[in-house]
Amino acid sequence: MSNAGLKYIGGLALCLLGASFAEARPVSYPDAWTLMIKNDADQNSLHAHYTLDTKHSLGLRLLYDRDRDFVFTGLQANRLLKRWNKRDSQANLYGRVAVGVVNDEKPSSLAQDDDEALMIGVSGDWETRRYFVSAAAEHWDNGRFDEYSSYHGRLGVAPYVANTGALHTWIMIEGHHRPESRRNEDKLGATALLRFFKGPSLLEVGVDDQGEPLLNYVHRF
Amino acid sequence: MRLTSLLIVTTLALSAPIASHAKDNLEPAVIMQTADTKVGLNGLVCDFCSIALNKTFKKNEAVAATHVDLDTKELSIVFKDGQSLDDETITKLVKKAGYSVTEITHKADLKVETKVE
Repeated sequence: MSNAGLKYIGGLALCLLGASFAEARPVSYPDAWTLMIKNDADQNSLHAHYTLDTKHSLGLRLLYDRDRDFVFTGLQANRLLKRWNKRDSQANLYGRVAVGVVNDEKPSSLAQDDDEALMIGVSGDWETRRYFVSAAAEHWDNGRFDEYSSYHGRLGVAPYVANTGALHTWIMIEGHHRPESRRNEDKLGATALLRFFKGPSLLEVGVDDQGEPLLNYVHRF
Repeated sequence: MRLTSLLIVTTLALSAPIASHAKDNLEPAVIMQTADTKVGLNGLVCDFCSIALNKTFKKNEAVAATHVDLDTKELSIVFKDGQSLDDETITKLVKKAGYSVTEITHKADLKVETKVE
């Protein structure tokens, strides 16, 4: 089997096992606000949401797609489809939908051409205090800015198990598959990252296989 | 007599909020040691879980302080003076926060058990 084939299979395996950051835990506890910021080679994204009840959250989603050079502005609804609470672990299955408008990053006054956009996604995660596994898939229909899918996967391990209020540290690897990406090197890739988690704040710092940085931040209010 | 009564009433009026406020600011170790109720939980894996439970319970008027310990997988609850929550309400609040209960132990029950022994 060729190297490209092995890389493809490896990437797909990761995609089936892990999840993209911005979609992780998109439903909090009732009346809580959450801010999720994601920056990587593919996009800059902000999702600020309010949890309505145990199963639903609703919020603003802003996204700049580097590959197709457009900005999405819209509303995103998240639903916790199923949660499994066990003595030493928790697993979740989430669904989400976003609707909004897309436009050029630098719209010219002569040819500004907005369009409507729709995103449908699903994600799942399983974690203990030591191990973390997640997977996510999204499909975007961005009108004149194309239609595409993306798949993310994550594996993580905590080098030590921390108690409440202490600094929690995770070593993670994220794989992605973006079949319709215009850049060949972005169709399949991996990112190594460190997650630092203390109280209501979570910070992730990493670098992908192209040397591009990753910087994510989540805060629960 | 009047002056004495006035002093007593004033002292009580001023000390009540102070006592209540003191319970609001208990250290985690104190909350665990003095908890009126301990709740065993399923699904506790991170600090976000702790925050969800603490914030959900602290919204309840009967609750003075809470602490979630990830190691013991327990929620410790200190109630305001003369207040408490029944098991059904505690289970409902835990579920609202997104978790499930394995057991609920009240300090009062432990005292009764000790007396029986």
